[in-house]
Amino acid sequence: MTLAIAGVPVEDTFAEAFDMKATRLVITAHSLQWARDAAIAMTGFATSVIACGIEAAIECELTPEETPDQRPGVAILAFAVSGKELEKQIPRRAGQCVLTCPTTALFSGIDGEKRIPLGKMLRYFGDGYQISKRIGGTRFWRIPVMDGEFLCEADTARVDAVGGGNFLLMGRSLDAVAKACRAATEAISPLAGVITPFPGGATRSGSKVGSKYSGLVASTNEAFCPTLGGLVPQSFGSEVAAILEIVIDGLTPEVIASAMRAGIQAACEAVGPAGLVGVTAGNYGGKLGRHHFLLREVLR
Amino acid sequence: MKGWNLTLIAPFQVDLDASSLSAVATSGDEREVCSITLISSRLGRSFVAGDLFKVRSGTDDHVTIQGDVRFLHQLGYGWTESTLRIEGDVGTGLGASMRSGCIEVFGNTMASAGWQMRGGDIRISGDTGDYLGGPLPGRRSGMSGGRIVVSGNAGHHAGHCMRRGTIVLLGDCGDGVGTDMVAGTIVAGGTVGKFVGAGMRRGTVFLAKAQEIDPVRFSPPRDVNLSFTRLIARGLDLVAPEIAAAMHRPMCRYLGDRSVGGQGEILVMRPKVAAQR
Repeated sequence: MTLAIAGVPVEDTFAEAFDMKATRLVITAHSLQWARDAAIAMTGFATSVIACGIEAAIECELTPEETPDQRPGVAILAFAVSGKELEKQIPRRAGQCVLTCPTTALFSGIDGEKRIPLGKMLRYFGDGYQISKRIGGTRFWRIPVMDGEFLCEADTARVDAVGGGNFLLMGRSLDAVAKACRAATEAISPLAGVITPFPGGATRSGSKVGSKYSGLVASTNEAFCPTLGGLVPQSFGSEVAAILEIVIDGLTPEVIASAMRAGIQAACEAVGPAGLVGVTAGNYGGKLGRHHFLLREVLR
Repeated sequence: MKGWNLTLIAPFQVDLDASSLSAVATSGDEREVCSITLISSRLGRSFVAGDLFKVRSGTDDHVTIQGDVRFLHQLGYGWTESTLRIEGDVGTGLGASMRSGCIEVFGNTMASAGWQMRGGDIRISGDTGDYLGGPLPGRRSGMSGGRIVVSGNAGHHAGHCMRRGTIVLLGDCGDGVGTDMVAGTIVAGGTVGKFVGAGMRRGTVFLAKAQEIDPVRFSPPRDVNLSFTRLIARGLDLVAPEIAAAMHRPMCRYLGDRSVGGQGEILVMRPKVAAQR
């Protein structure tokens, strides 16, 4: 422990992150509430690629001036391990969560050459009454629904991105680490191009690759479970009562580094050394992901 | 790419096929431009551009034609990428089969501007004739991409057999707007004649002014508030701000033409309601 933020020691280690494919979608609606409802549904059950297929969350809320159809909206970011998985998940979620939500429209929020179908697939719901409209070089589909029309861009772009940026907050108590965690996610949430896909932006179930049970691709990371202290080798002492992990997906390595910096600083300043024993990061020895976020460099 | 200015030397009365003049955009020297051949099928002879125009290299990459060139037909045929600027009136078939780029006319055009246009922009500051954006002779579908904006009036059958793209008519227009339309968008800012959308299968005709719609061909009107109109309005903010503003309000929608099993739509805009005290 050589570095400290607000008196909280930061371990000299790195977070290991992976190449992912990402897209940004813009959901608009008659009111922000409807747009938010659709976004929450679409990004529900999208915490981890391990079993959800994608990691997705609301990136930000948009004013009418910022959306294509000049209605209030929400931007969401979605990440998957492959373009194929993204192409599978996005139309499915758009169809069940956005098309179904009253007054919504769905647009692409990112530019790129490789495309993921949106309206191109959902149009068939129109059963022949759907209307194609090319406006300003972009194709849209208008699908008749019970409240009028569901307007949906034909496709969206997918871009290269990074997933799995992370840091772990080791707390002296559950209260302290929960408070630090909230402070970290609140500091990250205004940043563009990043999401923290887990519930409330944090996870308690940090995992390792594989399991003693065949067929399980991930299982609990006992090295970070305080209740197993003394039973398995751990890098921290008995003063650590609880650990929470913030996982960050971003469109570029730079935005992930910014988010890690903002999150760690906010967490440390929120509770100080009285609440946090230290900050560390999760990695697999650098063998799995090509993006290594060294904490001392991120916080420089 | 080099720009050229072609100034008409003297008034000319013989109709010429000017489709070959599109080669000006890629011409490298003055001699090459002057040697472009224009054919008169009526006289059975040809002329070269140098006989008709004073040719000078331009200061930008635009091709500018100055003078009353109503005798030039199919000017801008298959036009791509660059800008063709015509300062004067022009003949029929302007921008036929145009692919991209821009054609600006500071004057009037005769019939069939934008014949089977595929992309790009045509802007006409004056009036235009019949069959704007229509099909080439012998073809079944009209313009299939791009945008035509007419600031003046248009003749009959604007957007006939239109397949894709957008036509914006800021002045009045004649009968048969959007007849046999297959898809695409027509915005009519002024008054329109009879038979609007007759035979249309799909596509959208916006009418800024109330118009009697054939109740046999089209469904009874329904009040609608559709999101896509706001997207179209964004493209009209600069050319027609009042129409763009009207597109944010609910509209009256007619569906048809039912006589051909069509699913096209005529959207009639509502006038702005004055605030009541």
